[in-house]
Amino acid sequence: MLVEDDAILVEMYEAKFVLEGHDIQVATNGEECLRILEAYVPDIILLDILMPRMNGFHVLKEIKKRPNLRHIPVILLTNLGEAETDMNTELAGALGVSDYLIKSRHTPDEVVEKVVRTLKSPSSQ
Amino acid sequence: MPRRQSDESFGVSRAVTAAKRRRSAAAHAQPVASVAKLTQALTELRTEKEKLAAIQATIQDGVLVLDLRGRVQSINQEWEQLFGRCDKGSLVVQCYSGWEFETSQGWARLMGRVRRGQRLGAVYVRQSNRHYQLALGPVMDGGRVTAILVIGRDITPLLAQTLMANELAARAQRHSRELSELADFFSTVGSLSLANLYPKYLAKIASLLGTSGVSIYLYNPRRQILARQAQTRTVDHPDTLKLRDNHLAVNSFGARRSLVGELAGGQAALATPMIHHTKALGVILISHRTEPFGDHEIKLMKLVTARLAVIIENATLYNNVNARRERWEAVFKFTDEGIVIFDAQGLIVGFNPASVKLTGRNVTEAIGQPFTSVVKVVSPEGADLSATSPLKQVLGEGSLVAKSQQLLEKPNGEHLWAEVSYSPIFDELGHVSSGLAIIRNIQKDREVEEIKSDFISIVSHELRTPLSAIKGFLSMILKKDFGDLTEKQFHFLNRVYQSNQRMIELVEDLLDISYIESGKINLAPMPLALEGVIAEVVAELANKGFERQVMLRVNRRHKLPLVLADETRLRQILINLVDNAIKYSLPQSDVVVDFKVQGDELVTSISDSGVGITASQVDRLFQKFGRVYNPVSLKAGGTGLGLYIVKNLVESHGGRIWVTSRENKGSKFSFTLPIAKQLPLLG
Repeated sequence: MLVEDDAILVEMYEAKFVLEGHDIQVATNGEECLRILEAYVPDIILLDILMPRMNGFHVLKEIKKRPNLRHIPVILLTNLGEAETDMNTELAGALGVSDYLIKSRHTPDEVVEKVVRTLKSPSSQ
Repeated sequence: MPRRQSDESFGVSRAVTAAKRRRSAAAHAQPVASVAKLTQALTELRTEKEKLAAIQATIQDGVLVLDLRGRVQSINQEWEQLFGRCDKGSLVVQCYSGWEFETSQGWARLMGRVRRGQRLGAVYVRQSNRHYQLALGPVMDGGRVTAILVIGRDITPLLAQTLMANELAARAQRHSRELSELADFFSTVGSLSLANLYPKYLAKIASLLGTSGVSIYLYNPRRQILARQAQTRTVDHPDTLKLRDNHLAVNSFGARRSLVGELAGGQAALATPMIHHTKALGVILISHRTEPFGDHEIKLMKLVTARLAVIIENATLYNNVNARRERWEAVFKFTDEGIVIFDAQGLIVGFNPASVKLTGRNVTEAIGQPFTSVVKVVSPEGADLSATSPLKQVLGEGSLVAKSQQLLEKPNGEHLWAEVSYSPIFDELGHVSSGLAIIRNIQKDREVEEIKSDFISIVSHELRTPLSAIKGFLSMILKKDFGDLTEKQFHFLNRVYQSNQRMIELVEDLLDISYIESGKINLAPMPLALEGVIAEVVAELANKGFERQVMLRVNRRHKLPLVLADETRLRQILINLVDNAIKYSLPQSDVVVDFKVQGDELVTSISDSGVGITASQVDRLFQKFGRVYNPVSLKAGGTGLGLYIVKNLVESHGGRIWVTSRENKGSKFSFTLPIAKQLPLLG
């Protein structure tokens, strides 16, 4: 599940994931994401932070509230720097986030690679 | 009765006259007995004559008997000694012609009065420089004046004494007047206004010393001159005097003592310095006096100047203190910053208008109340933080405390961000007597900070988004995800990718710098094993090195101690330095990473055998955009911001960074990191 409000980036990541043979569900804002999650449980969620109306942290909190969704690994996929979000390993752990990726630092296939590795790691089983 | 002859006797004695009458009566009555009677009378007469002669001889006054025409009948020795000889029969007027009679009388007039029977008691005569006193009286026989008696004495010495006594009396009177004026002078309460003071004292000095010209000069140390503060209207002394001038007042001031002398116009003058303890305040110049200046005047002026010096010093001190107080009051009243003064118990004693605005309490509410309840500090969540107030520290230990970012709560619930600085106030013994707090409204600053933060966030996000799209799509195209590419297409698209990558790096660097400069780099230092980070960095840059035929080597003999560092930032530092080393290396050379433990720091060095850096270039190396111009480096890319950021990051860890280099021999960048102190083993 990719939660991303920028249409171009959606196009980009979607193309890559499909090319690599993965199933990808897209939500372009927080409410849509939660609505979809009522019916569809993904293996992993890629979550943008800066979105209109409901930001990524808010969505994250909601997800963690729901017992059926709590276990799903979440990777924050954003263009906000660590300094801007005060992000560090501690905070990530507290929020229940597996990783914090800055889009401009990674190519799409690096992102796919990260996703695959996270799904393979014991904590997500 | 037969005519009587005038004989040698002066007829003051009635006994003689009586005796004569008896004798003449007796002569008429008994012619036979008259011979015996005559003999008796003659004997009595002789006795009287001897008595008179004795009186005449003993008396110290001069005695002169004149006939009615003024001819000398009898003259005693004393008279002649006092007034000079005058032969019997001479006219008295002729003998003593130089005599000046007081009240313009004269011998003739006086004798006339005596002839009429008058007795003249005190007649004063002056002859050149001698003064005489005469008494004149008639010699009577029966009712008739028969001769003129003159008694005279020389009162010159007496007169001189009298004159001196008068003079002394006059002087005593003058001194008494001076004393009363001096007493008045000293008892007058000095005015604290110098402007009011001077005219009063000028008048007093003029009156006391009987001069019409008085000038008061004050010394101005900054300009090194004696400036005239006041003068009596009639005088014409100079306005200012330089210390180099040769003037009586200057000389007196310089010598610190009174001087009597002459002014330019020939006028006699007295200059007296005004000295308070050892400080010379100025000088008073007086002139235009009918009598000359002497010791007495000098003494008077000394008393005057001593008093005036005290008064001037007091007035000056008062004015200075007042001026300072007024300045302080102006600051207190008009500053935008809140000033709160509290006593040793922490109760408010001073509360300026700005404090009223910042705390929402007015002065009457604040005075006497505890500081912490008026200047209410709360946490952002609203919790009362008065327990953490530094008041105890300030009042107890006398420390200066600055607390930034304090949230103040007003009684109406409003909040305000402020910076509060505390300072103790000491008394003369060095004990803390009270304290002072200055409250600065930083609401605006915080708002600006927030705007800047927001701006940076927005910019970073907005710039990174399109850059990441470009990066993403290009990478996929280059990976041939969407079909094959010709060699040329691949090559140039790769160039596009690389350029885009540079832009991404520039945005990262700019963001880093803006964080550094706003002090917002949040480091999370923790004990780190450098080995891990080094390994990652080497792995990441190995390819790049390989492309340029540069070998990366890590020299590590022993296990490295843990260092206190932020992992992400340490990685950033190392990547930057190793990347630089690779960029500036010559082909087929090595980049070596070395370690050394130095005290409680670990020194990490990255050496290359590249083109090197000259001494002059070293200075600019760590500055913003201080890239060293170098043909090799031009191809290397980079923004020139890297080392600036690295230096800041190293220093934020409490370390130092430096470079040693030699042209064409290579460079060695070294930086220190604190070694993590051993934690006590737990369990």
